[in-house]
Amino acid sequence: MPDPTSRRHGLSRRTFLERGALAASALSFPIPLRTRSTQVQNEPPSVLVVIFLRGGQDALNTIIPYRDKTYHEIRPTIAIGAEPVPDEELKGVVRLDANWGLHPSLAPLFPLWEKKSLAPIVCCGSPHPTRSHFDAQDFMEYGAPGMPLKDGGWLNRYLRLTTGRRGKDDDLRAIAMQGLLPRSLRGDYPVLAVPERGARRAGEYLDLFDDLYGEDAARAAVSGDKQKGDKQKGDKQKGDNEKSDKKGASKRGKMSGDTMHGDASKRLEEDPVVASGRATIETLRRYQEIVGRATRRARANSNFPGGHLGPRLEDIAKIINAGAGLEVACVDWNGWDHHAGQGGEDGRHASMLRELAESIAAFFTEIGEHGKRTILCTMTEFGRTCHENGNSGTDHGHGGSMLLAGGGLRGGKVYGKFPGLEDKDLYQGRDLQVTTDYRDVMAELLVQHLMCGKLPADFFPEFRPSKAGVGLFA
Amino acid sequence: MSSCRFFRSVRILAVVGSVLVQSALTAQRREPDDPTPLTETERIQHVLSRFGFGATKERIDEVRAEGIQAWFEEQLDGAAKETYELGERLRELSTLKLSAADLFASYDPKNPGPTAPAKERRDYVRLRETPRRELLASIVLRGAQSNNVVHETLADFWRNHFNVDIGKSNLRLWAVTYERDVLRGHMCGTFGDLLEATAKHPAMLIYLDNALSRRPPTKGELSAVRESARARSKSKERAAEAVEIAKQRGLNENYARELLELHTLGVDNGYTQKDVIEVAKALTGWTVNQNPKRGEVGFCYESDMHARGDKYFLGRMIRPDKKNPLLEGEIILRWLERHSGTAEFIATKLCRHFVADDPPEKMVEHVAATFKRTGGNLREVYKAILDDPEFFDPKHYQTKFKRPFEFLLSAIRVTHAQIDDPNAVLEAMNLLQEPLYAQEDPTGYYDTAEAWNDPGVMAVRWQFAFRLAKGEIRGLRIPDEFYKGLHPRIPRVWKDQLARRILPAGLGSRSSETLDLMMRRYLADHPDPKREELAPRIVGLLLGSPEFQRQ
Repeated sequence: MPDPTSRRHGLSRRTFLERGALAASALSFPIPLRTRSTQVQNEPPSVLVVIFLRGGQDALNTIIPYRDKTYHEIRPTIAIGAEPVPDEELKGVVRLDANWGLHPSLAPLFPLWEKKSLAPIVCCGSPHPTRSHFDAQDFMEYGAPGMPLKDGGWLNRYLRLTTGRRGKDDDLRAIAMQGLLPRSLRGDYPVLAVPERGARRAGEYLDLFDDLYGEDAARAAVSGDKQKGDKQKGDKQKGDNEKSDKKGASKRGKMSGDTMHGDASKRLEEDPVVASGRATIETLRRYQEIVGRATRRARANSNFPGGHLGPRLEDIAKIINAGAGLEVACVDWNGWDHHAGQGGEDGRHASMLRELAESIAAFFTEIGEHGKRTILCTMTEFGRTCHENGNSGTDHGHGGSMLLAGGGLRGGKVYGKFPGLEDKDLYQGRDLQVTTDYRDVMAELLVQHLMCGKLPADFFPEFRPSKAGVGLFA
Repeated sequence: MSSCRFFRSVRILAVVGSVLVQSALTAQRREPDDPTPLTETERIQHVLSRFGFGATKERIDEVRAEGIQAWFEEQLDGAAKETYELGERLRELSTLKLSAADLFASYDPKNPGPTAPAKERRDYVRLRETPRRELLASIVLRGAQSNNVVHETLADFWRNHFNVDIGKSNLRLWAVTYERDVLRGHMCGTFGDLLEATAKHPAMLIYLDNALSRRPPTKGELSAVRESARARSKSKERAAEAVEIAKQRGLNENYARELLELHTLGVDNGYTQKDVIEVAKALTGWTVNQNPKRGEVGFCYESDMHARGDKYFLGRMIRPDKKNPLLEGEIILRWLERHSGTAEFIATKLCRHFVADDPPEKMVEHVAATFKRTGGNLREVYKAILDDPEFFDPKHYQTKFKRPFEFLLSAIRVTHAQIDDPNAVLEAMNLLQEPLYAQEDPTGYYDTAEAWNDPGVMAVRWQFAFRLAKGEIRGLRIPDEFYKGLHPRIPRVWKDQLARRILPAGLGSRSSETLDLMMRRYLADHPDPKREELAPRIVGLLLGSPEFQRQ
C-alpha cells in the first residue's frame, strides 16, 4: 500500500480551497479541471470494487461451518460435503481453517487466501429486521437501515465528502458497469453508468447533443431571456466555433473550466434531465479516453469467464490498469434469490459462485501490482434461512456474509462472531444473527482503505461504531 | 401485405397534409413555473401524454372532437376501432388466442437432444419460442399502434404491479394467458377479481414459488418414511437421513410475502413475519397441473400439500372449511382487497404512475376513497384520477420522466414509424435496461425518474433517436411520408415544422434557440441541404432533446 498521507497532503491548502469553491459552484457536477502537474505528482488512489449480489445471497453455503453437525442436519439436501470425520480427508468444502471452509465452487479464491489477501466475514449484515429485498437493499446502499435517505448512497456520499481533496475531479473517480446506477452510487455527485455492450458505441452521438445539453446552450438561452448583451456575446462565440472544428471547439470550451453564468447554472440545476445529459457527455467522453488508452496496453494472462460478472470486472480492470483516478466501481448481479432449486455442490447457486470466484481471480491476475491498492468486496441485502425449505432452496433470512479480497487487508482469517446453528442461537429461531454491522465494515473500508479521513458523525445516521472495530486492517 | 402498406401510406399522407395546414411556427412551450391553468389543448396533450404514450396531431383532434371525459370512457371500454393493419398483424400471431391446453399441446415440443440434426433442433427452438415471441410482439405492436391506447398504458401499469418473469421455468407458455385473461381481462374490472386471478394463475404460482409450497410432514408420515427407508436400505443411518430430508419439506414464503408487500398492503404495513407464514400456510395446495395426461393444465388444488388447522392473519382467526378448502386463501385475498392499506397503496402507485413521482397527497386520498367506496372498481378509480383537480395542475405538465418503455413507444408513435420487425423495439428495450416481461425482481420496473435518469443513460436514448431517424434500425423505419410537406425552399423552417409533429407541446426556449443556432451553423456550411440528410438529423435531435424525455 502506498503511504496514504502522501496523497492526502499532496495539495497545497490554496489549491484545495480553490477546488472546493469551484466544485461547489459547478452545477451539480464538477467542472473538469486540467492541471496536469497535480496529476503527475499524485500516486494513483486506492480502489474499492463493490459487487452487490442481489436477491439475498445464501451465506451458509458460501462460507461454511463444515464441522457443525447441525449444519448438515438442517440442510439435508443442500449441505456441502459430508460431515468430516477426524483424520479423514475432507470432502466437498475448500478448507480454510479448523471450522470454516469455502464452497467448492470458490476454489479459485484459495490462492488469495494463501496470500492472506482474502477476508471472509460471517454473520454480517444489517441490524434492521426487514426481509423485503427492496427495503433491505435500500437500507444497505444508503447505509441507513430503517431510514431511507434522500441525499444519496453511501459511496456517493463518500465521493462528495472527498470532492476536491485530491485534485482528481477531472478523473473518472467512480463508475458502475451497468446501464443504471446502483443506489449506493446515486446522489449529487455525478457517477457514470456505463451503457452495456452494443450501447457502448453510443458515444458517437455525444458531440451532436453537446449543444442541446451543454453549458453554452444554457448560457445562450438564459441570456436570450434576460440579458441581451450576453446573448450577442454568446452568438459571437458560436460564430467563432462554427469556423473551427466543431468537436475541438466544444471540447476546449469545456476544458477551460471558466465559471458559469449564475442564472444558467441555476437553470441547469433545476432540470435533472439536462444535468443528466450533460453528465453523460462529460463522463462518457472521459471513459472512452481512458479505455482507449487501456486497450493499447499489453494484457496480462488473465482468464475472465463469460457470463455476467467476468466481462464487467474485465472492464474495471482495464480502467485501473490505465492508471486513471478510479476510486470506486460497482457491479450489480441479480438472481441470488434461491427459493427453489438452489442446490448444494451442483446447481444454480454453485454455478453462480463459480462464476464469481473465477471472475475475481481473473480480476486480480489482470490488475497485477495494482492489486496492492485495490480491494474488492461482495455484499448482499440479507442472508437466507438456515434450514433449507421444501424445494431444495432457502427463504429470506437475516445475517449474511461478505467476501473481501485485495491489498492491505489482514486476510487469511475468517472474521465475525458465529453464535452457532441451534435454534436458540438463531435470529428469530430461523436465520443467522448479525454479529458484525455492515456499517462497521463500510467505515473501515472508507477510512482505512480509501483514506477519506475521519467520517462525519452523521455519515451513517444513528450509527454507533463498534469499539473494537472489525480489524480488517493492520 | 403490400396493399395494406399502400393504404397505410395514403392515411399517413392525409395526416401529414393536415399538419402542414397549421402555421409553421413552433408551438411555444409553457414555462416550467407558469401557474396559469392549462388551456384546452394543453389539457388534451396532458391526458395523451400520461394515458396515451404521447400526443400526435390526429389524436389531439380526436380527443378535442369527443371531449376528454367521453373519449376516456370510450377508451376504458376499449371501443375505439382498430386499424385494419393492426388487426392483420395481430391475426398473424396465432398463439395469442390459444387456450393453455392448446399451447401445451402444440408448443411444448420434446427436446430432440444435442445429437439431433441441426434442422430438427432449430425447428424445436422455433416452435418452443413461438408463444413468447408472439406475445412480446403483440405488446409492442399494440403499444405503438393501438387506437385503444389507454388500455395499453393500463396493461403496462399492471404488468409491472403484478410482475412475472417470462424467463422462469415455462412461463413462456403461461404468460400468454396471464397477459390476456388475467391482466387485460380484469384491468377494467374490480381489483379483487384481478388479485384473485393473479393468485390463481400458474404464471404467478410458478414465478413466486407458491406452486411448490407445502405443509410440513406429520409425525405419522415421518415414521412411515423411516420405515420404508429402513426396509429399502437396511440401514439405520439412511433411514434417519430420509427422515431429515422429509422434515425439510414445507412452506415456501415467497408468494405470501410479495402478496402482502408488493401486491396489496405495501411493505411492513401492519403485518409481521408471522402473518407471512400464516398466509403461506393458507395458500398451500394452490398449485399447478402442467401434465395434460392428468387433466386440464392450469391452476389446481392439491389437498395433500395443504396445511391443516386454523390460521391467524392480522389478528383474526380463519377456520378451514372442509367442503371448500380454497376458502381460507380466498378469505385472505378478500380481506386484503378490502383493507384500507391496499386502497392507499394502489392509489399511491397509480398516482405515481399517471401523475407525479411524488404523488399529491390529497389526490391519493381522493383516489383511495373512490377505491374503497366502489369496492375496488378500477374503472371508477382511473376516472377519479382524471377527475381530480390536481391532475391538470400546471406543475405536473410535461414534467414526468419517461420510462424506457414510454420513451420508445412515444418515439414510434410520433414519427409513425413502421414496425416491420417487433424485435427491433424489444432489443432497444433491452439496451435501455427495461426488457419486456423479463424483470427478475417481483417489484416490476420502478416508476420514478430517480430509477432511470442516471448519467450514461441518455447516451443510449440519443443513439436510438439517431439510428431511428436515419433509418439504421433494421425492422423499424420512419416512412418517407412523414417528411412530406417540408417547405421546399426554406429549410430554415424545417425545425419548426418537425418540432410541431414530434413535440406538439412545444420546445422550451433554450432548446429552440439552440436548435436554431445549430440550423444556422449547418446551413452556413450546406447552403443547399438535402432533405434526406438534414431532416433526419433534426428528428434525431428532437427525439433526443430534454423535452422529449418528459411527458
